[in-house]
Amino acid sequence: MPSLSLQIFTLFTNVVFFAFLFYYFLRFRSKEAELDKRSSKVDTDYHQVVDTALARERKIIEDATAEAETILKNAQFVNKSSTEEVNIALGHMIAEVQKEATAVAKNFMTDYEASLKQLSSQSLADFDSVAKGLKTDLQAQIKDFQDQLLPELRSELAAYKRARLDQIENTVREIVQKSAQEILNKALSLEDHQDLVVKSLEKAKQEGVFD
Amino acid sequence: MAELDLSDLITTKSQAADFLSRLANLIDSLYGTDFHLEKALLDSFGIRKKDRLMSLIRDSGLQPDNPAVLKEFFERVQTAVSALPTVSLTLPFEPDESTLSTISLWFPQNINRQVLLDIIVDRELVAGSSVNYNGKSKDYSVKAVLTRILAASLAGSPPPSP
Repeated sequence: MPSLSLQIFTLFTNVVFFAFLFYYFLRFRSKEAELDKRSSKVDTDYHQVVDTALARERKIIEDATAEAETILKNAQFVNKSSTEEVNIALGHMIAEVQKEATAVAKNFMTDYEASLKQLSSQSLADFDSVAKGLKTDLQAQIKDFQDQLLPELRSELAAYKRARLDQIENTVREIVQKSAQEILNKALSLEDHQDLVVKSLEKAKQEGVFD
Repeated sequence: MAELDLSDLITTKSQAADFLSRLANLIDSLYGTDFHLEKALLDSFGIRKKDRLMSLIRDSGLQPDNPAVLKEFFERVQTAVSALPTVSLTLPFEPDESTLSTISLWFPQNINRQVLLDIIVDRELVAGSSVNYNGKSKDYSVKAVLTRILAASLAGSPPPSP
């Protein structure tokens, strides 16, 4: 069994503990109330700021819309007047350009006709000169042909003709000779050949070959 | 001294060259101790030419056992053969011994002269012959006749008489 003093001490400590606990509880409640109060104030301030901002925003949008409508109205007016001015200016320009183009075309046609006339007369003169030169050259060539080339050509033709004829003659001679050789060699006996040789010797004697 | 008749011994130029070569060898062997004329002639020229040469020796009245006389005779033959004129004959056929003999005999009989034949074979002559003697040449072949006829025909004139 614990002593009394210990029991008293324990009781005292418990009392102190509960007193301390109670004190902190009170403090906690006080701080919570204060926090609620602050929170409520912050919320109020926030709503106030937001409402103010929204009001300002609406105002700005309304002002901008009004301004835009004004600008649009002005722009339409400016656009319309500008278009009219540009159309008028373009009309003037087209007229000017047409006028200028007509003048240029007329000048061009005049110059072209003049150039054409000059060119045709010059060309005719040139052609005449070329034709005369050509005629002279041609005559010279014909003369040259008649004087030099024609005789050479005739001579070459004659030589060619002679060569061809000789060739033909040789061919014919060869054919006749071969044919005669074939035929006579078969037809002639050794005695016939011998007789012909003796006759040729007699002919040679008559012609004085052995004199 | 009578002219030697060599017509039976040689007919052509090539035969003459061969004959002279053999004759030179025979002359060289005349003074040999074992020389016997008929045997030497038979060995060198064959029986036909041996007989003909023996006949020539006898006809000349020479002593066949006297080498000096024989040498003189053979040298005469050499000279006679070398002096024979040559007739060049171009023939269109290869002549046999008989034909050569006939042709060779034609010369002493017709022009009183023995000749050596130089035979050339050219089959393009067809028939007849071409004769060349002492720088003179004549073509009596069918080839020449045909050439003349052809040339005349090609020239447009009547062909010449053969």
